[in-house]
Amino acid sequence: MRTPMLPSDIWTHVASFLSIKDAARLSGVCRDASRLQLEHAYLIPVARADDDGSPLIEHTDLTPAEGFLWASRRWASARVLHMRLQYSDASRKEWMSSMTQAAASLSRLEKLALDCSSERGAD
Amino acid sequence: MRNIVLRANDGADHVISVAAASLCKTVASLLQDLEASKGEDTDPLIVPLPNVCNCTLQKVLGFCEQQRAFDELCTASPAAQQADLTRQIQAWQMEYMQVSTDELYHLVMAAHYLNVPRLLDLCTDAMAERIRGKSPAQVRECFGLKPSLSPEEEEEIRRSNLWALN
Repeated sequence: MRTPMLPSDIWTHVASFLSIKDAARLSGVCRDASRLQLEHAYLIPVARADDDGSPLIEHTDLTPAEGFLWASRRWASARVLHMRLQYSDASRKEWMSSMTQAAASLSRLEKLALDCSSERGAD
Repeated sequence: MRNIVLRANDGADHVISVAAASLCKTVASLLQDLEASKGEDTDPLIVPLPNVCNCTLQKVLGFCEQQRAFDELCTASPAAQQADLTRQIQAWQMEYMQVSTDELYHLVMAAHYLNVPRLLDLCTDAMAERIRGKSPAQVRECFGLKPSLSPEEEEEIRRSNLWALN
């Protein structure tokens, strides 16, 4: 078996092309990958706001609460955060407010995109 | 204009244009240092690259020369042709990245060492394509990586990432 290792910053770069779920899986590959940080994060929180309990939007990369926690530990040096929110109007405003506050503490953040559209109508 | 020679770790030399060399930020920085120390000397500038083999260097230089050509075309072409040019560039890049996992590994390391941002983006995107949907063990197998975490560390990471593993 070959013994090459890739430095953490290459894994970080790779993770910027992956969903949070795939980036989390990647962090279990080796020691260097376990130190990866998020430069770009695309998060779609899971919310079951419908009467039948189904998400308001369908997406294969929905981010559960554990995923948010995982991402929040690694986004200190993020340059781009993209959130697609799918909550009701009231909770959406809370989310936007809390995410805007969280983003203010990220020193390298260049872009915070909050996409509040949903299949049931948008702001 | 002074010639630039990039020397691979096996001694093979490659003459490249200043324009193409400027895409490698590590080389551009070395050139600045050499220019500063040698003044207006017209001898070829030889840049030794101890971390890059000849085969990989050829591939990197092919990228730099082609990207420079595309850059010039983009600058010279009218707005109406930009979309077509973008498609041409994407097609060329797709063809360029038809490499084995081993070649991809060497290419990404070279792009990182030589600091060629556009090539690094292309390589890491290609790596992400090969990683998507795979478990940590499958990624290790795909890239021939040796496990570097202890079983205890691996188990700890696995437990905290259970949400992503299902």
